[in-house]
Formats: sequence, C-alpha cells, structure tokens
Amino acid sequence: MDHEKEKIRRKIKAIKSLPTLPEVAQKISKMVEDDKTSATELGRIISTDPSISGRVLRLVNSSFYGFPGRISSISSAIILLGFDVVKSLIISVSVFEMMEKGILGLWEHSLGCAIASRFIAKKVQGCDPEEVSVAGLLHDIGKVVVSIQLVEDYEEIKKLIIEKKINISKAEKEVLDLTHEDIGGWLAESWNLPVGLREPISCHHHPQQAQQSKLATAIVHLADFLVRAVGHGYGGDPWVPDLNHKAWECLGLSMQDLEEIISDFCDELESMESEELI
Amino acid sequence: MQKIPLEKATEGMVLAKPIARENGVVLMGEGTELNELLIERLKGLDITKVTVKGRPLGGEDEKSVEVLIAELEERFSPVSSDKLCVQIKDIIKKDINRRREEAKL
Repeated sequence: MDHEKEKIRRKIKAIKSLPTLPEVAQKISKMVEDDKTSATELGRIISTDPSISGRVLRLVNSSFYGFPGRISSISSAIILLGFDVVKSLIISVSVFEMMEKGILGLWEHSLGCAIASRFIAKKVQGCDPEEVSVAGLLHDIGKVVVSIQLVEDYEEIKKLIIEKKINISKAEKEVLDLTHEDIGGWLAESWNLPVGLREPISCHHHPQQAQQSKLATAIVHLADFLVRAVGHGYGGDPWVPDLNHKAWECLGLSMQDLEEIISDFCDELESMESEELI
Repeated sequence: MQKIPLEKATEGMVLAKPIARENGVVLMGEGTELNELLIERLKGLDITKVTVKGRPLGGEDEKSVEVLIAELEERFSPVSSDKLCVQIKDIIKKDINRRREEAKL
C-alpha cells in the first residue's frame, strides 16, 4: 500500500511540473493586466507569433464568434472582443496545439462545448457569454495533460474504460487517484486564469463545488453534457456524463429553452463542419 | 437543405435560404434557382457559402436515422434511469427527425 502511495505521489509531482504557456502568451498575460497597454501594442506582440495569431484570427472569423470574415487583424479582434477574451483565446489556441497530439476528437469536443456554453449563456441572466464560452473551450485541459505527460497511465485509463465500461473520470480516479478536473484546476491556477475560467475547469463534473462562479460552472456542466449527447467530437469515452440536477435548476431554463438551444447548437455545428474549421 | 461552399454550387440548385450581405441586404431570395450567371455573380460578391434545397453533397455516406438513434441510445445508456436525461434525449431525437425531414425538402 505504501508503495502504491509513493507511486501516486511521484505521479502528482510529475504532473505538477505543468506545461508552460508559449512565450508570447506569457507576455500578453502581463500586458493585459497593465492599464496603459493599448490594443495596437498588444496586437503587435501577438502578431509576432504567426502560428498563434493565425489560429486566433481563424477562430474569431468563424461563425463561432459571429464575425465571419470580417476581422483581419489581431488589434481589431481585441477592440471587438476585449483584452480578456483575446488573452483566453491565445491560451486556448496554445493549449490546442498540444491537444492535437493528445486525444483525437478532443478539440472538436472542446469547441462544441464552447459553442453550447455560449448558446446556454445567452438564455441565462447574469453571465458573460464570451467568457463562459472560453471556459467551455478550456474545460478539459486536464485531459490534455494526462494524455501527453502521463502516456502510460493514459493507456491504462483507456483500457479500463473499455473493460469495465466506466467513464473517463472514474477510470482516471482508479489509475491516478485524481481526475482531469483536479489537474485542470492546477493548470488554471498556475496560469493565473481568472476565477470565471478556473472554476468551470476544476468543477465541471461537480458544479455544486463552485464557490464564486456557480453560474458559469453550471453552464459548462450542461454544455459538456449536450456536446456529448449530440455525439460531436470525442471527450475520452463514448457516453454522456452524469447530469447534476441542482446545476440544471440553478440555470432556470425551461424545456422549450433547451429545445431552442439544442436546435441552434446543431445548426452551428453543421455550418462549422462546412467551414472546415474543425 | 444543406449549406455548401459556393465552388460546389451548380446550375439547377435551388436556394433554401436567402443570400444576404452582412448588413442584411438580401441579394437573392429563397427559392431562386441558380444558373451559371448567378453563380459567377455571387463569386464576384465574395459570397463563399450558399444554403440549397436537398442534400447535393451528402447522402451516400450519411447515416440512416435508425443508426443515429441507436447511437444516441448507446451514448445515453449510463443515464437511462435519469428522467431529466431521458427528456433531453427525446429532444435530441426529435431534432434528428426534424433535420432529416427538412433535408428532404
């Protein structure tokens, strides 16, 4: 047993040396906190990394943000969407460069979750749809870390999912004694993400544990369920996760609202497929 | 109905949705039958996608409704005793059927 504990402790240590953000994203994080930074300046810094700025522009020009084909520079993206959203987008695209090497279909799952989060947020009072959608985009970053940094454990997790027919969170718990929520939470902390992003990442399967961003967490919880429910992308196992009824109730949505959300969501997924963004 | 890239549009396809500029000005109405001239004109107007009736691009590799519903049931199998989840599943089922009906138009 002690041997087991030691093994887990070593693993945690390995994960604690979390991936760092690309240099440009770190610079931007600092600049965003400085009131004197202008959109032009920030745009110039971001543009020094062509791969990141290209992906950000592709994302803001897709129907995902509703400005299709209109934003040609990073500085206009900042003016339209705001510093914080652009900062989060840069973090997202950096993460997803890693994600492409990790779990096949997780990028589609995450983008789908972001879209669903935005549609839900539009029907819920008192939350910012743009921030909530970025939270949806990032909610599974913990899975990226597991699949990239703990390759052998991830193989074990995949085996358990198939053999025991258990979902990815349960399999992670058995193998690592941790889940992607825990790991995502550490990552969000080490990257100094705002609480509005941190809690949806660290509590999206346990929305009752959110303290400050209950609403955003409940939205991402439902969005994660919906993207799995319609079968878009791959979140690590083939099933819908458990749905927390308290979280559902706190959103105050009717079944009619939900029908509209699902219909809009599926329309959006169809049109994104034809755009070949995903 | 299907949204397709303009390059894939051919003579005889019928618009299922109007083509409008970003400011809302309608360029071609719903029901317009496309021909070479109109397609060229759209290209000149920087239009990249059109929504047409039927499913000219999809069809053969598309899953049948029965397969889609069976996959949906499988995804929901761990939560089959949860009433709220079953309600959501039924909404999605309805949406799948509605989409397929619309595609026939």
